[in-house]
Amino acid sequence: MKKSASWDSLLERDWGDTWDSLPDAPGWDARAKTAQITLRLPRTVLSRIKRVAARRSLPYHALARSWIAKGLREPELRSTIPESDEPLTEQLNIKLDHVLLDDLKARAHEQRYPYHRLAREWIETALVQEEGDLGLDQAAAQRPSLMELMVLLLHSSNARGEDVVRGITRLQKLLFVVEQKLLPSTDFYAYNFGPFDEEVNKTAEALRLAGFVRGGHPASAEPLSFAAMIAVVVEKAGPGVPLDHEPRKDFALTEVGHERAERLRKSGLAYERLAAYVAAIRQEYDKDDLVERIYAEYPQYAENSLIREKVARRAKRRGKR
Amino acid sequence: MSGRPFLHIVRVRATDDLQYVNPDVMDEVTINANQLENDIESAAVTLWRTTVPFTVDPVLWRFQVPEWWRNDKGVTKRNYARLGAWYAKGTRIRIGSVPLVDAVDDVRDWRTVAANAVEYQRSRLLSVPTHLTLFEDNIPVRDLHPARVIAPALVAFTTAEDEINAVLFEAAASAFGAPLAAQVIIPPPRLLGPETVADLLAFVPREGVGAYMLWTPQITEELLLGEPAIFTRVLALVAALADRGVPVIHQHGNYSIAALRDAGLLAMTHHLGWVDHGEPAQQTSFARRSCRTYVPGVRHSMKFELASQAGRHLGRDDYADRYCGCPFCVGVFDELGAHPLDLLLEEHTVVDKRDRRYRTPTGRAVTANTFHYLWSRHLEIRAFAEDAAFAVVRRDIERAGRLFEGDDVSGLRHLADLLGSA
Repeated sequence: MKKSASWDSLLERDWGDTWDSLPDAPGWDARAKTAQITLRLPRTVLSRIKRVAARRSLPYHALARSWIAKGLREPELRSTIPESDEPLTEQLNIKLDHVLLDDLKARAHEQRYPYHRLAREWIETALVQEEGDLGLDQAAAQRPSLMELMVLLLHSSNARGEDVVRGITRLQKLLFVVEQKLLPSTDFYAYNFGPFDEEVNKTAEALRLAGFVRGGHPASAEPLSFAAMIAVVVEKAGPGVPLDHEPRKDFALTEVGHERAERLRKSGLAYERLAAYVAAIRQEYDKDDLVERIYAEYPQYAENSLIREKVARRAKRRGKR
Repeated sequence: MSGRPFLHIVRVRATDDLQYVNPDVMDEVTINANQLENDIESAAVTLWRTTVPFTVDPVLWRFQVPEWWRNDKGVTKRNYARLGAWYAKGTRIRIGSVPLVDAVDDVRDWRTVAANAVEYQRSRLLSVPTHLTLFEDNIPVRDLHPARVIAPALVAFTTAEDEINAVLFEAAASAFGAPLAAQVIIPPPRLLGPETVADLLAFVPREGVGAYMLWTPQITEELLLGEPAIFTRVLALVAALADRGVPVIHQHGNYSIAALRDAGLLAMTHHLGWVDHGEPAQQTSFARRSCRTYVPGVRHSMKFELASQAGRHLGRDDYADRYCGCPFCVGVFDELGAHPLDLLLEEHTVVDKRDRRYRTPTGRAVTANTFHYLWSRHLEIRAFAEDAAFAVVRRDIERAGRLFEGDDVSGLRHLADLLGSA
C-alpha cells in the first residue's frame, strides 16, 4: 500500500524542469553491418569442418558461413542426419551480415525451429555432402588418432606415478596395447622387437617439434640461439656410442603438452572416457614385464622378434620368483 | 654492398633435417616429395611453427631408374609407392613398377601426371590430418601454400626426355594457370657432349616460366674447378637462362656455384650434407659417416686430422678470423668455454656386425657439424649477396692464405681465375 502511494506521487509530479536539465541523448548508431552467431557443435563435427576447409584451402569459418547461405538458397533443406549423442562442447563463431541473419531467423520462424539449430543442421548436411565429394572418410575423422592416443597416454602415469615413458620401444608397446584394446584394426606389424608401427616414431617427433613433448628444441620462428643449437647437439650420442645407438629417448609431455592434453580430455564425454581407459591400460601394463606380457598375449606380433628367446628366458625367470 | 637478393634455400631430405629449419639461417626450404610422403606431420608442424616459406620438389625423375626408387633389396620404398599413386591418379599407369618412360606411352598420361604433380604440391600439406589443429592456439597454423609450384621433369639423358619435359611443363602450366618453375636437369654426358648450350636449352620453355631450377648431377666442386670446360658450360647455362629475364635457382649448389651469382643466380639450394658427392640422381643408401668436416676458411670439407692441424691451436679471435666465425663456433667458445673443434672433430671407434673396426664421428659431432655447415653456407651466400663475386673470392683467398698454404688455397685462386676469364 505504501509503495503504491509512492508511485502515485512520482507520477503526479511536474517533471518539466528536470526534463530540460537532462544531458543530450547519445547519437544514433546504425547497427553494425555484421552480427556474430555462436553455434555449439560436437568436437568431431568441428574437426571434420576443419578437415574439409583445409582440403578446400578455405578458412573454416568462411566455409561454414557459405553453407548457411546455401541452406537459405534451398527452400526445404532440412537435415536427414540422425542427431549425434556427442555433447556440443565446441563453439563456432560465425559472422553473418544482417540480411543473411534476418533471412535465417525468418526461415527458422516459418519452420517453427530455433535458428541456431537450423544453421547447425545446414552445416552438418553440407559437411556430409562435401566429405562425400572429397572422398573423405567420416569414420576415420571420428576415430581417435594416434597423436591423440599418444598425448593421452603421456598425460597419464604408471603404477609408480611416473608420467615419463622410458624409451621408444616402451612407447611403441604401450600404444600397441591401447590400439589393440580400442580399435578394430591397427597398423602395427611384427618386427625386430615385437609389434612396431613407424607412425609412432613420426608422431612422437611431430609432437616434439610442436613443443608438446620434451627434448631437443621445438621448431620455432625465433632467432636461432646458441642455447637452442646446443640443446639439439647434447641429445645425441657422445664418445663410445655407435651412431645408430643414440641415447635412450624418454618421452614426457611439456607443460604446454599437459595443458593441451587436459583440454583434449575435457573436450567431451567421449574423450573423458577415452582418457580414463588409456590411463587404466597404462596402469596395468606399464611395468617391468611389459615386453614379456605382450609377447605372451599377442604371440603373432613376436614372430619376427630378434629377442624372442631372451624375452622367453626372462619371462621364465620371473615366473619362478 | 650490392643489396641484391640472393636467396638461401635448404633442401629437406629426411625428418632429422627439420630440426635445423629456422628463418634465421635460411630464406626458404625445399622439401622433397618423397620425404613428405615419409613424414608429413613433422614437416607440417615445422612449417607452421617456423613460418619459413617452402616449396615441394616433385622429384618425378626419381621414377626414371629403378635403383632410384627401390631399396637395396630391390623393393619399392613405401614412400615412393605412395608418391607414385598420387602421380598416377586418373591413369592406368603403375608408377614405380618399371622405368617411367616405359610405363607411360601416351601424351595424355604424361599430361595427367604433370597435373597431378601440380595438385600434389598445392594440396598435399593442406590435407595433413587436422588433429594437429586441436592444438592450434599453440601452433600458429597457417595455410601451407608453396612459395612456388615446380613443374615435374625428368633427367634429360637425351632429347627424348627433353620432349617429354616440354609436354610436362605445358600441362603443368595449364593445370596451375600461372607461371611456375621449370626444372632443367642435365646429366654429365650431355653437359660435356657436343651439343651447344642453345641445343641443351632448345626445349626448355620460355612462356609461363616463373623460375628456372638448374641441376647438373654428379658435378662435384672439384670437377667444376678442375675442368675449365665444365665450369664454363655451367656458367653459360646460368647466363643463358638468366638472359631470358626469369630468376634462376641452382638446385644443388656449393661455394663455386654461389660465386656464379653475378651471372644471374637468384637463389642457391643445398642439402645438409657437407661431403661433396656432386649430388648424383641415385640416393646413397646407408653409409658410414666419414670423418670429414666443412672448413669455411678454405671453403671445402676436409679430413678431421687436417682440420685439426689447421684450427685446433687457434684461440677464439684467430679461429673466428681464419677458420670459422659462425654463431655456432663462436657460441662454443663464448658459452661453453670450449674449443669448437673438440666437438666438431669428436670421433670414436665402432665395431660392425662383421667385427670390423672403424672410426666415425659421434652423433653429437654430426649434429654440431650440421649447424656449423648450415651457418657457414648462410654466411657465404650472404657475402655473395652483398658484394661482387670476385671481391668475395679474393677476400676468401686472403683468409685461406692465413689458415693454409698450397693446394687448399689454389682451389680458390683457380675459381678467381675462372671468374676473371669469364
